[in-house]
Amino acid sequence: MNDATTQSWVAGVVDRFERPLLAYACRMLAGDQTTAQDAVQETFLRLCRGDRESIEPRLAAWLFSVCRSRVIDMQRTQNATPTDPSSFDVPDPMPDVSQTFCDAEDKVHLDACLTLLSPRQQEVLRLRMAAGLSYGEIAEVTGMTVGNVGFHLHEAIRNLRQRLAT
Amino acid sequence: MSDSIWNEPRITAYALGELSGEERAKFESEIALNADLAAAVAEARVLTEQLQSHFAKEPGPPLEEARRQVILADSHASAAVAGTDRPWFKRHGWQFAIAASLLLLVVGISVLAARTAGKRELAMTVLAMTDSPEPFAREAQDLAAEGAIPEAKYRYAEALKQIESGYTARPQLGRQIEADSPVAGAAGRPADLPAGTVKPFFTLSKERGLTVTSEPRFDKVRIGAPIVVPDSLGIDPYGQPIDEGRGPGIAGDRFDPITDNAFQRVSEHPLSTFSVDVDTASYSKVRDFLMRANQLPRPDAVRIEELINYFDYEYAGPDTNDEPPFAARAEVVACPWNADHRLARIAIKGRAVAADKRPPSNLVFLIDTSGSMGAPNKLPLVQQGMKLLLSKLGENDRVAIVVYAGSAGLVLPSTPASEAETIRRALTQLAAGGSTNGGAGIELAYQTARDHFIKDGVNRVILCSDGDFNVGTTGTDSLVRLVENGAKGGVFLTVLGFGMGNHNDAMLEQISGKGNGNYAFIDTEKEARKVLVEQTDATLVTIAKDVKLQIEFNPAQVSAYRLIGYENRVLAKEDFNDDKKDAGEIGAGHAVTALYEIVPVGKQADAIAPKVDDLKYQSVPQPTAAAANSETLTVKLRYKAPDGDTSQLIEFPVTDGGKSFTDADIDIRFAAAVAGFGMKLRRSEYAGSWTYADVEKAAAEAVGSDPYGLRAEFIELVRKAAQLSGQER
Repeated sequence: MNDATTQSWVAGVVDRFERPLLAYACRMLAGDQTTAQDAVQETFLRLCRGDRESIEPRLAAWLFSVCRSRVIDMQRTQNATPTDPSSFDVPDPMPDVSQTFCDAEDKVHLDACLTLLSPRQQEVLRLRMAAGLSYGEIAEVTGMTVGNVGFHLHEAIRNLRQRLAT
Repeated sequence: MSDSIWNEPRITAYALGELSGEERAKFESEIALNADLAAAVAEARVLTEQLQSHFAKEPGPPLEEARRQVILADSHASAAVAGTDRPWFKRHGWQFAIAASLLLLVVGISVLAARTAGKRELAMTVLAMTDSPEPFAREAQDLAAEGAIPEAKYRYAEALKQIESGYTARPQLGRQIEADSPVAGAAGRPADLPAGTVKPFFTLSKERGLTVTSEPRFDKVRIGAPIVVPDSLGIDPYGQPIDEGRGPGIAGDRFDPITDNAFQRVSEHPLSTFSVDVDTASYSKVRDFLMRANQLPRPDAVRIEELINYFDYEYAGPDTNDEPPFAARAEVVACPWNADHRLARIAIKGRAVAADKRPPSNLVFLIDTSGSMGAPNKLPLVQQGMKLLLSKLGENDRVAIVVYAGSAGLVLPSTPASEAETIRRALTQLAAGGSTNGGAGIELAYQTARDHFIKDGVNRVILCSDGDFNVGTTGTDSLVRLVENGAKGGVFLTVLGFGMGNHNDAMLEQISGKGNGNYAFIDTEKEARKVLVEQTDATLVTIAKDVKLQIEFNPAQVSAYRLIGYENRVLAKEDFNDDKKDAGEIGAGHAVTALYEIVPVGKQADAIAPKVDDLKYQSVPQPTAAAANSETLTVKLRYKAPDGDTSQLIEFPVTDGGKSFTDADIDIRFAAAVAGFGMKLRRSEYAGSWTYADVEKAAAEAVGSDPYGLRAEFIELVRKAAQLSGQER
């Protein structure tokens, strides 16, 4: 019984967080889908091995922290031994470009504005809006103070407001 | 309002509910005194909500299926170590019901998704109990709505233990759940789980994986009831896309794949047979891609024959009242993109109908008013277009309006066009909302058309949609049957496609073809004017139906040939004389152009399938006496009168006069340029030596009088495509 409930719990967590985590990792990795998939997979594997009781109350923050440090680790190792992308034959897991375009048709403008924000602003915005973390949790994930998080988030909103108005 | 008010980070914090009790009270009292601040807070709230839904709709892919399996297998392995016997679920039955249902779904979906090998996009089904007290159900809903049960407060007898030994940083992909896993069995339903009825709200399509198709409903769950897992979760296990929309929030035009017609050896395939096609949708679609979306169209969106037939050519039509109702001619010139080859053009021009001679019309506007039609390039353009058409109608004509969204309805009963004000008002009042039930709408429209049938008149349903049929009888097949029956009863169909995103091109083209109709894509008001005002007669009045062409090539002159475009219109050679086989229609004044690239005898086609060995038991057919003359090919054409059932045959030979491309008339040169453009856009291997610059040059030299500026616009498109493809490479 119990293994089934744990498995269903994990499955539920995967369902709920796979997209926000992937989007988050992918943005940090400058669009590298495959590495993002690696990072998110490892995050969930850590979850399987982790202490559920201690993780559960701060699940979102825990997942994003782990994912963030995995991404940073991967960036380090990748840069240390640069690989030749042409030596791998990996299908691109992203949907077709034109597909993406159609999906994004109505959101192009907002997207364009989002990419103009600073990386830090983009990160806090994503953690808040896509992953639903509180200021405190974002502070925990990014290592900033709560006040700092509030400042960056507000700057992001303020910038967007101005860009969208023009 | 001054922008300096925005120096206050508490605005955002407040809008996001991040201020603690004391701070919030203080800030609220400030807001009460400062209208600017209140406005800023309201603005921030709107913006944050917008962002939340923006991120929620982000089309990012889910975790790859193989990776998911690894994680689930791992969680299973980890948990096995920390077992417990405590029957906790007795006290938390409802929580467990959710958990179990979710689990079942996950397992069921995983199994199915793995089978279909499609990308899955899982949106969790939620359910709750109506049998339980209200607050209880509310809580369950809230929990379930989060798509998981992280807050479930039960405890394990023993905490889970970490298994560091089994941990590898990069687990192998594709590790499967152990076969004996209690949740991964083929049935996917452990017998001892109490749970409820699981209702799917999703469908699986090949391209998009699993998608939610409707709002989650909260269905009855009886604790302890037997588990019912539908055998088919609305999922086609063989990976065929289900013929339904992709679901809300997931746009995406659907096109059927097109494979270029290949070169055929005349010795093996002396006959080429196809149906005419007067649709023009693909051209507008391409223009929309290039000019509005700033993007090269997908190759499958480019149907070359529709590009060519979009333009007016100065073909002479037949004299009035002559039989047949159209003129057909053909000519052979040099092929501009391959110096060794020749280019044959077959041109058909339908008889024009004088404006005052148009038979009385009984029109039913069938207008999609589903939520997706709300965009400015959809419903408003439909309304504008229909008003334009209205201005061309006379006192003998009638108009009815049927709309379809969640349900279909007759907005305007059949009304004489002389009461233009009434019709105009009904059109203006249309508003978009709800989902699409195209099936019921089409049924009602055909019924309305039949109720007011005008004998010897124009009886036509004009369907205006973005093609996103996602509710109701939505299988293409059932719709096709419906329009086929309508066509047999004398009610023809015109399909006008609108908007990008959700545009189900393949279905719209198919139903218009089966409904003895035509299909145009309206992307701008100008295009609406072209289709509905300048070509009203061609759009409304059919002069010949089931028009088929069969070309026989002379093996003494031609070694191989290739039909350019018409890929989805190609017929078997037997179909030509089979009057039961449906084919394309020609409207009054319509022109149809077909191009063949011809490889003369003695020259080799670059890309051609290897020759088949000579037969052992049969000799190769010998050329007849007729082959000895200099004819290149013979055109045979069959058509039926609009109300006829038996076809007439026209036949004429064509001889290659050896004309060079520069000596050809401008219509041939322009059509060749359009064909070349289409091949470039399709990244066709048959485009030969031509570049976009060559296309542009050929088109620019063949603009002619160009009364509506269509050819000039084409040149713009070529430039844009050249620029975009330059950036792509």
